[in-house]
Amino acid sequence: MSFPVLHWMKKKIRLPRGYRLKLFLTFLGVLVLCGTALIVLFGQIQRQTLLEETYNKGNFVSTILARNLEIPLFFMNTEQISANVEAIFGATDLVSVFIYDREGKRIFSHFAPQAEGIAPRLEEMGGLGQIMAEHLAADGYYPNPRWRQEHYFVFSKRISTAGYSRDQTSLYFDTGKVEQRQVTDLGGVQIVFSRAQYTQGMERIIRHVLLLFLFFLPISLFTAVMLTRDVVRPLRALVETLSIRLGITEEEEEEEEEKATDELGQLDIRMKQLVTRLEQSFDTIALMNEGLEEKVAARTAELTRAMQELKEAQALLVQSEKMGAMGQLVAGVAHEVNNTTNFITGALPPLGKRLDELRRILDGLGKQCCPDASRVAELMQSIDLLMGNVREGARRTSKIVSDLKNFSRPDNDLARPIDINHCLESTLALALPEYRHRLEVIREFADDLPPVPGSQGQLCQVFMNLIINAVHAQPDKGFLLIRTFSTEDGVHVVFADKGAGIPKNIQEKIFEPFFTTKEVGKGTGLGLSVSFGIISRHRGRILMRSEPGQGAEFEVILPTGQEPIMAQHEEHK
Amino acid sequence: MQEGLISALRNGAQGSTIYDRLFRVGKISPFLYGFDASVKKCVPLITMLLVALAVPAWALDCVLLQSSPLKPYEEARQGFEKVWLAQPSATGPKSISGNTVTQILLSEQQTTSGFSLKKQLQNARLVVAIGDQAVEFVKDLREVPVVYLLAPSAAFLPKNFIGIEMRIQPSRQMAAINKALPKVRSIGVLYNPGQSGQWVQEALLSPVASVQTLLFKKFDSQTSLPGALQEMAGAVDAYWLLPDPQLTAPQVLGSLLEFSMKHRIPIISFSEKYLAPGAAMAVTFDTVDMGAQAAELGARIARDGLSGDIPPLTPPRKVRVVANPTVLERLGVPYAPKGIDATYIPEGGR
Repeated sequence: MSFPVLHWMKKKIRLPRGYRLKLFLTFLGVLVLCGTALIVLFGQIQRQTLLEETYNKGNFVSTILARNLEIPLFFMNTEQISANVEAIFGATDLVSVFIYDREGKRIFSHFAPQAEGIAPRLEEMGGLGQIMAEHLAADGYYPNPRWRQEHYFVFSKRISTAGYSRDQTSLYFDTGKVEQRQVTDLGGVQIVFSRAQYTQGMERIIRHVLLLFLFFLPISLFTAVMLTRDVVRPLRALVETLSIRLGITEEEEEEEEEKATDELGQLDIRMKQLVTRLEQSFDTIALMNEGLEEKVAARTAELTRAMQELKEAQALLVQSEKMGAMGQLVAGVAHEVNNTTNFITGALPPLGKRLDELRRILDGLGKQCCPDASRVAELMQSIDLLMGNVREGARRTSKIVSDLKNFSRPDNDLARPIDINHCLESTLALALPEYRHRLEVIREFADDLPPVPGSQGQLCQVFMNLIINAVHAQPDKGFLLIRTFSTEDGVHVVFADKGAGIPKNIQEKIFEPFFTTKEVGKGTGLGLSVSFGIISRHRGRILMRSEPGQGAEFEVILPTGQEPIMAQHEEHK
Repeated sequence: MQEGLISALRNGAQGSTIYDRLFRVGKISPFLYGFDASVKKCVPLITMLLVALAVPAWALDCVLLQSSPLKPYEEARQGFEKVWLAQPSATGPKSISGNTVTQILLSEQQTTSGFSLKKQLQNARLVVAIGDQAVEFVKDLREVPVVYLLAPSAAFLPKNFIGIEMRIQPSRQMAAINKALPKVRSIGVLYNPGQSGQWVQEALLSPVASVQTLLFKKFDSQTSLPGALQEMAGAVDAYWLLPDPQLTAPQVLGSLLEFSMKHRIPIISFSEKYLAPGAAMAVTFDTVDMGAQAAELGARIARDGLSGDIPPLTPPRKVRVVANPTVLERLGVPYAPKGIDATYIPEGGR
C-alpha cells in the first residue's frame, strides 16, 4: 500500500485519538467509576437492608416467642412451651430454640427437623449460654443481644412477667392508669437462625447487581462514544474553519498535528495564530488611523474642489445657454445683413462696368455731350471715390458678418478643427473697434499652428473674455500681446498685458465663479470661470502668471490630438 | 306567679353551669302545691324572707366527694344525685328548700387546698365519698356522717362511716348465673384461702338448687395452676373468677382464658372489665343503683342520725349481669337473654 493511500486513509478514517480519545476514556472512566460506586453502594445498602431485615426478623420472632412463652414458663408448662416453640418453626432458616431459666441455665432445646444432624454442634456452640446469662444478669434496660457467627445468627430475648396489681380499684375497673407492676424475670429465649438464606440473598443481590452492571456497560460505552463525538465534532470543525481562515497549508497542518496531538492543542495553536493575526491587524488599523485624518482632509479638499467644479459647470452651462441664445440671434442678424450686403456687393461689379462704359462713352463724345467736361470728370472721380467707399463698406460688412458667424457658430460642431489664429482674428475684429484708439494690439501669430479640435464659438468666447479682461485691466491706454505657438503639449495662446497685475492673495480665486474685482454692475465674475470650464472641456489648460504692477499673462494650452469632452459627449449622443 | 317562681327556681336548680355543678343549689320542695289560695298569695313574701335567711356558704347540706371522673364513679354520682335531690329534706328551714348537694372532684383539687377542703367537709351535714381516694381523704372526719361506695380498699374505718360494699353475696351471684346460664350445673372456682376463703365458706353455705356442684380449687402457688385447671377440665361447666389480684394477674388470667378457650368453659367474672379479654359474663353491681342506694342511706342518716340499726357495710342491692355474647356463642354456651341486663359491646362496635 503506497504512502498517498495511507495518507488518504488517515485523513478519512478518523480513529479516536487525541482529545476525543482522552474525552472518551475520561467519560468511560467516570461512568465506570460512578457505576461501580453506585453498585457498591447499592450492594452495601442492600446488604445492610437484608441484614437489618434479618435482625428485625430475629428480634421479632424472639419477641413473639418470649411473649408466648411468658405464661407457660411462669407455670413451667413444658407441654405448652414445646407447643409454642414448635409453632414458630415455620419461620425460614430457624434452626434451633434454646430456653433458659432465670439463672441462665438452659432448660429447653428444640431443633428444626433439617437441623437435627447439627444439633450437637449447636448445643455446644460456645458462648450462647454465657450471652444469655449476662443478659439476664444485667440490671435495667439492656438491649437484646444478637450474635453473628459464620453460619448462624443468634438472637436472645429475656422472658419476664409483671406481678399482680396492688390497686384494688383496678381489680374492678379500667382506671386508665399505667400500673407500675413489679417485673420478674422468668428466663430467656435464644433463637438460632441459619445464615443460608441471608447468604443466598446476598448472592442474589450481587448477581443482580453484576447483571445490571453488564447491562449498563454497553450503554455507557455507547453514551461515551456519542458524547465524545458530539463534543469533538464542533471543536474539530472550529479548528478546520480556523485553518481555512488562517490559510494554513496541509504541510503546516501536519507539522502542527505532530506538535499538538489533540484537537484542543490544535485549537490552542490556531487561537494563538489568530491572536497574532489580530494583533497585526490591529497594528495595521492603528497605522491607518494615523494617516486617516490627512486622507480625510485630502478627500474633503477633493470633494470641495469637485463641488466647485460642479458649480462652475453649472454656471458655464447657464452661460453657454445664454451665449447659445445670443449666437442664434447674432447668426440671424448676420444672415440678414449678409443678404443685404450681398445686394450691394453683387451690384458693385456691374455698377463699375456700367460706370466704365459710361466713362468711355463720355470720353468718346467728348464736349458734344457734356459742355462741362471738367464737371463730369469731377463727378466721375467722386463716383469712383464713392464706389470705393461702397466697396470698402461692403467688404467690411461682409467681414463683420463673417466674424459674427464665426463667433456665433453653434456648439454642436465642437469637434471641428479650429484655426486658432483665424479664431483670434475674428475675435479681435469684433472686440477691437471699440478700443482701437486706446489699445495697442501686438499679434505674434505662428504660421504653422495645427488645427485644434473644438468649438470655435466657445474658444472665441474664451479669447474674447481674456481680451476684454486685458482691456479692463488697462483703463487708460493699454497694451496687449497676443502670441500663438505650438509645442508638443498643443497650441499655446498667450495674452499678455501691462496692467496693474493680479494680487497674490486673489490669484487662486480668479477662476472661481462670480469672483470679480470690478465694481458692482460692471462685471459678473463669470468670465474667467467660464473660460476655465471651456478650456477644461477642450482638455486644455489655462495658466495665469502675474506679478503685481507688472501686468498679467494668461496662457491657454489646447491639445491638438484629443477630442473635446463635449464633442465626444455629443458624438455618443 | 307562684308557679312561675317555682318553675324558675326549679330551672335554676337544674342548671348546668359550672357553679351549679360544683355548688348545686337545691330546688324548692313541691310541698307548696298543697296549700290553699290565701297561703299561696303569701308565697312571694315568704320566698323573699327565706332568700334573706339563705344558708351561708359554710353550711352545706351534702358534699359529694368523687375520687376521679372514672365512668363508674360518674354513674354512681348521677344515681346519687337523682335520688338525693328528690328526697324531702329532713328538718329545719331546709324543709322548704329541699336537699342540696355539692360535688367536689378530688382529682381536680390542688394539693394545697386540702386543708380548706377538709374544713368545708367538716361543716357539711353529710359527706358521700366515691372511690378509694375519696374515702382515704375523708377518713379523718369524725363528726360528720360519711357514706362511701365503690371503695374496695376501704377498711378499718370509724363508726361514722357507712359503706356499700362491692361484694355480692355468692347466693345472689349464683342465682343470677343460673338465670343467665340455665345449662350450667357445675362451676369451678380457684381461690386463695387468705384472700377469698370467707367468700368460699359463704358460697358453700348458700347453695342454689340449680347449681349442683361448686368445684373449689386452692390456688396457693404458681405451679399448681396448670394442674388445678387440668383437674377442672371436663368437670365444670363454667369458671367463676373471684376478685383476687393473684387470680387476675396477667399470666394467670392468660392461662384461664386459654383454659376457657381450650375446654369451651365460659369464665364468669365479677367485673365488666374482664369481658374485653375474653370473659363470657360478668355478675356485678349496678353503679347507678349503688349511687341511689347511697342517697337513700344518706337520707336515712340525715333524717334519723347514725343509729345503731344501720350496718356499717351494706351489700349492693342490685345485681347486674352483663354478657359477652360473642364469647358465649364461640364457646357454644347457651344463655337466656332474660337473665341478662346488658350485653358487652366492644369499643368500635362488634
